[in-house]
Amino acid sequence: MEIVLNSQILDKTGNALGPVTNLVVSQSSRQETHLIFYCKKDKAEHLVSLEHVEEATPDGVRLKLGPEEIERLPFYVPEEYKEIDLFEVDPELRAYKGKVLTFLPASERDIGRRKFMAVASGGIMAIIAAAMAFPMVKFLIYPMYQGFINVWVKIGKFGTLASENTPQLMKFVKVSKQAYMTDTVDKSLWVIKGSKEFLEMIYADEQNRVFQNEGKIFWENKQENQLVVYSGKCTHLGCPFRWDEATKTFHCPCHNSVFKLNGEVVSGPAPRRLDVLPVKIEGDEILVIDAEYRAGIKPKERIA
Amino acid sequence: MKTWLEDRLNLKVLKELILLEPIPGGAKIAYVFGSMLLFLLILQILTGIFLMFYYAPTVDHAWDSIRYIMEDVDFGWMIRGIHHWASSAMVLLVVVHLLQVFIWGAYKKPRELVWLMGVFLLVMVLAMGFTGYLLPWDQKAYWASVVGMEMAGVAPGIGEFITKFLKGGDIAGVLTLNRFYVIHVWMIPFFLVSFVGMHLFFFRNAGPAGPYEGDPKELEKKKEFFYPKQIFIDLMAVLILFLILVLLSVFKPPELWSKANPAVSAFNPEPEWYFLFLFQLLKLPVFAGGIGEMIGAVLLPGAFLLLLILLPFFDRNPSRNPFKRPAAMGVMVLVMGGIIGLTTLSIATAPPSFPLSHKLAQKGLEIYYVKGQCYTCHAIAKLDEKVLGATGPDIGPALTDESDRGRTLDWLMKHFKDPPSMTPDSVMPPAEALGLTEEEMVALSHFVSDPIKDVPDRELPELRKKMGL
Repeated sequence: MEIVLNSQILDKTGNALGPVTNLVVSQSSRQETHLIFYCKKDKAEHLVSLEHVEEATPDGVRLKLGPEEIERLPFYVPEEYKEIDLFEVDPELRAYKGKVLTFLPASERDIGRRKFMAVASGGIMAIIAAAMAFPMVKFLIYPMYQGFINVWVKIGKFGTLASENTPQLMKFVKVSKQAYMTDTVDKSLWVIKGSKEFLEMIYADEQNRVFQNEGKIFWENKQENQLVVYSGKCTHLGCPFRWDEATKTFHCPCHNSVFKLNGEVVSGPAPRRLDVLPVKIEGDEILVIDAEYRAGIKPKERIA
Repeated sequence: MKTWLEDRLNLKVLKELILLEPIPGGAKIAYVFGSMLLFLLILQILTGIFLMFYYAPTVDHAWDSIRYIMEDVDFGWMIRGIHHWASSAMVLLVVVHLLQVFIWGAYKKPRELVWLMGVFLLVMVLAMGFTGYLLPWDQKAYWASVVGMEMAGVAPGIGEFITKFLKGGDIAGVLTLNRFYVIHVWMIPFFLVSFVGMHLFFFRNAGPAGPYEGDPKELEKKKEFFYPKQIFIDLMAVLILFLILVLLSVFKPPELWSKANPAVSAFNPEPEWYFLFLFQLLKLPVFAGGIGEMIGAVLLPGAFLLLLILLPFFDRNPSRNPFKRPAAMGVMVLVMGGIIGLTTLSIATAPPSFPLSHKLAQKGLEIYYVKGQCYTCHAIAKLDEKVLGATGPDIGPALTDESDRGRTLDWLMKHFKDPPSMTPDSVMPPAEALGLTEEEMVALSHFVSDPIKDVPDRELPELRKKMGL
C-alpha cells in the first residue's frame, strides 16, 4: 500500500473528506501505522489507523469507514507526536522531512522528569571524572617534583692536576638512578687547582661557595681543598666550551661566549658567569656533586 | 554559541542519531551491559595510555618499571589496579552481554551484523587479556604466555607460524615482549575501536530489539528514548562498576610476582581466570597426546567460535522467546555449564601453588638479615656480597638456589617451626626461638623461594643501618 501525501481521503462511499497531511511511523515495528488528514467538514486534523484503509489509488485513499465512524475519529494532538528523521524510515515511503511523525510517549513529554535525569546523569559523569582527575594528574606529575639528589661522584685524582690556575678537563661516567633504572652518562667538568689569591677571589662570592636545597644549606666549598670546578656547560645555551691557553680564556664555540679563568663573562651572549659546583677531596680523589643549572638566564637556577 | 555550532554541525541530527534512539517497550535495567562495556573500554584506553607514561617494554626493565608504577609513582597502584580489574570486568561483561543477546534472541534478523561485530569484539577482548598478561614480565606472566603460545602452536598448518610470529623467533624473550606490547597497545585497540564503531552503527540502524515478546502497538506506546532515562540507568550501573573497580584496586591491588626467569622450572604456570576452562580442558584424558591436544586447544574452541559467528545465519527460527527455543537454550546451558564447571574444577584442583609476592619477599629479606640473623649460618651468593660485602658462611646449606627446590609454603612453614620434623639432621633453631611471628615466617618463606633475591639500591643503606653496619 502506497500512501502519498496530499492525496484525498475518501470515505467508504467515495466522498472526499480532505487531504493527507502527515504519516505516523512506529519506531518499534518500523512501519507506518497511521495517517493524519485534514477534514474539511470540521476544519480539524484527525488520526486514522492504516487498518481502516481499504485501498490507496492515485485518485485517493479510500477508508473502510462510513460517515458516522469518521465522526468518531480522534483528533490529531500535535504534542503527542514528534518529527522523525528520515534515516529511520522505510526508504520506499513517499514523504519528505517534517511530514513523517512518530508517537511521543507521555514520559518523554514530561520536561521536569527529563531534566532531572539529564542533570543526574551529568552529575554521575562528573563524579567519575572528578574521582579520576586528581589521581591521574598526580600520577603524571610525580617525577617532576622529586627534588635534586646530591650524590658525590668521583671524577679523578688530585695528583693528576698539573700546575696552579690551569684548567683541566676531567671526563667521568655519571651513574644515576633514573626512575626504575640506572643510567650512565659520559660527562666532563673543568677542574682548576687554584692559587690562594684565585681561590679567595672565587669563594668571596657566596654563590660559588654555598649550596642550598630548598633553602637549606647542604654544602660549603672550602678554600683549603684548593679546587674550583666549573660545570662543563656554557651558561648561554649549554654547549661544551674549551680552554684557550693563548688568551687564557674559556671559549664557547656555539655563540662565541668568552669567559675569564675566574668564570666571569668577557664577551658574547652568556647571561652569567660559569657555574661553580660543590667539590671535596677524599684522600687523592676529587668528588663533586654534578649539579646542573638552567642555561640562558641570569640567575643560577638549579635544574638537576 | 549554540547556534554558531548548529549552523556548522547540524547538531539536531547528531542528537537524534546518538541520543534519541527509541527503545521498544521502554528503558530497562536489563539493558545496561552495552553502556558498561563502552565505559570500560574508555577506562581501559585512558588508564592504558597513562601506564605507558612509565612502562618500558623491554625484558630488562619491564618488571622494574611496573614496580616503579606500583610502589613509587603517586596513584600508580590505582591506575594499574583499575586497568587490571577492568580487564577482568570486561571479559565478564562481554560474556553477560552476549548471553543476554542470545537469550533474548536479539541476534536474529535484522540484527545479524550487530551480532557478528559483537563476536569479533569478544575475540579481541580475549586477545587483549592474553597480550596484556605478559607485559609485567613476572613469573606468572611469562609462564602463562609461554604455555598459551605453545597451545596456539598445535594448530594444524599455521600453528607453528603463529607461535613463531608471536615469539619473534624460537624463544620467548626480548622480541616477544615487544610484539605483545605493540599488539596490545596499537594493533588490537585500533581494530577494537573500529569494530565498536561498526557495532554501534549497525545497532543504531537496526534499532534495539526490545522485549522478546509483545504487541508492537503496546511496545510503541511504552517506548522510551535512550536519552535521558536509559542513559541515567546505564550511568547508575557504570558508577557502581567504577566504585567496585576502585575498591578492588585499593583492597586487592594486582600482584607483581618475581621477575620472569626462564630458568626456574618450579613455577606452576596459571593463566588468568577467564582462560582457566581451556587450561583445564586440556588436562582431560581425552585431549592427551598430539592429536588430542590439537582438538582440545584449537579445533574445539575454533569450531565453537565458528558456531557463534554463523549462529544468526543458520538459526532462522523467527521466534525470539527463549521458552519457545528449547534447543538453543539447551546448547547454551550445556556450553556455559561446561565452561563454569571446568573453571571451578581448575580452581579446586590447582596444586598448592606458591605464587610469590614480591612485597612479602622484600619483607622476608629484611627479616633474613635483621631479625632472623639467618645470614650468620646461611649464604646467598651475590646478595650477601651486596649487603655484607662478602658471602656468608656455610654452617647451614647455601640458599642461593633454594627457589629451584620447589618447596611449598606448607613445607617451609613446618620447617621454620620445627626444623628436624622436615630435615631430620637439621641444627637450625626453631623460628619461634628467634622471636619470629607466623606472619614473619610467611614473609621469610616468600623470600627464600624468590628466585631473584635482590635488594633495591635505594633500600640498601636503610637495611645496612638496621643491621648496624
